[in-house]
Amino acid sequence: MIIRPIDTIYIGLLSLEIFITLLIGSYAYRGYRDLRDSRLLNLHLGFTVIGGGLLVELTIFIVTHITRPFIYMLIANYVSAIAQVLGYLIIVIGYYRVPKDQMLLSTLGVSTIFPLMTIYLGSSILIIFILYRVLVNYVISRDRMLIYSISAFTLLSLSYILLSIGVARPESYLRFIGNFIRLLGFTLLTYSIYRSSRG
Amino acid sequence: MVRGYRSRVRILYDILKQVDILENIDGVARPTKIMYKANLSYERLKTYIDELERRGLISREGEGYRLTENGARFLIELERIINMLRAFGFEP
Repeated sequence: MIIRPIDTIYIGLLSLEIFITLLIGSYAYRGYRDLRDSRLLNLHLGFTVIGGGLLVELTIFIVTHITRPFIYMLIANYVSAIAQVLGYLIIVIGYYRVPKDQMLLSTLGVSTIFPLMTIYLGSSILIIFILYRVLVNYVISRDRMLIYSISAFTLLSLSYILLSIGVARPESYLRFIGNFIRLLGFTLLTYSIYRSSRG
Repeated sequence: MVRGYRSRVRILYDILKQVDILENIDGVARPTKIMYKANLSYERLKTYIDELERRGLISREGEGYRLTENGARFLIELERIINMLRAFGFEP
């Protein structure tokens, strides 16, 4: 078993991303449990699905370094990428207040199996939609706290574009840069959420 | 730009925040003042006040209400939740 230094960085980045996404997901669940607000349920489900997908990717990445059948890594990438599209889709559906029993159906209905590259681009488009909603909020309120959120979603969107190109050019470092930028995005998002005061 | 209606989370936050502010100014938060400051009709305020009282977040004190210890904690939590919803563009 050979683990290159770059693989260690990759494992580290993924682990942090999993931690942050599941942290946001669990925080949203705490809010949902107290307030029964469907938007919080969407955030909880969305981030749990994203974190779950990344966890599958990490687990299979580690396992493939022991057993070496790289086809599993490709499957892991698909599972993770689809989970991310589904996760963001669940969050976007939250803007339209879809009843809970219809949410799964809507999510499955809208999403189909695309090639990996298209899936990453799909994530990017969904994040751009979220970014648009936050920008509208910013224009209305001019709240400086939202700048962190806007920066976070810009970074997340950029990261998925890089990940998408990285799939087509596996020899490049684009995937690592994409992962790193996505981690920065998640970190910034967590920071903006945990800031309790405005301004 | 058309602004959407206030969510339940936002209304609960507005009520608790006003109870907190009015309690600091007047000692207790009177329902009429909460109603005016939180921009709610009497019927809606009554529904929410009953819920908050039932959940032990506010308590009746003479002619008004005060935040309980749980209520003060919940207010901080609500502020964080609203920040989270705003970070995602769910709340204006």
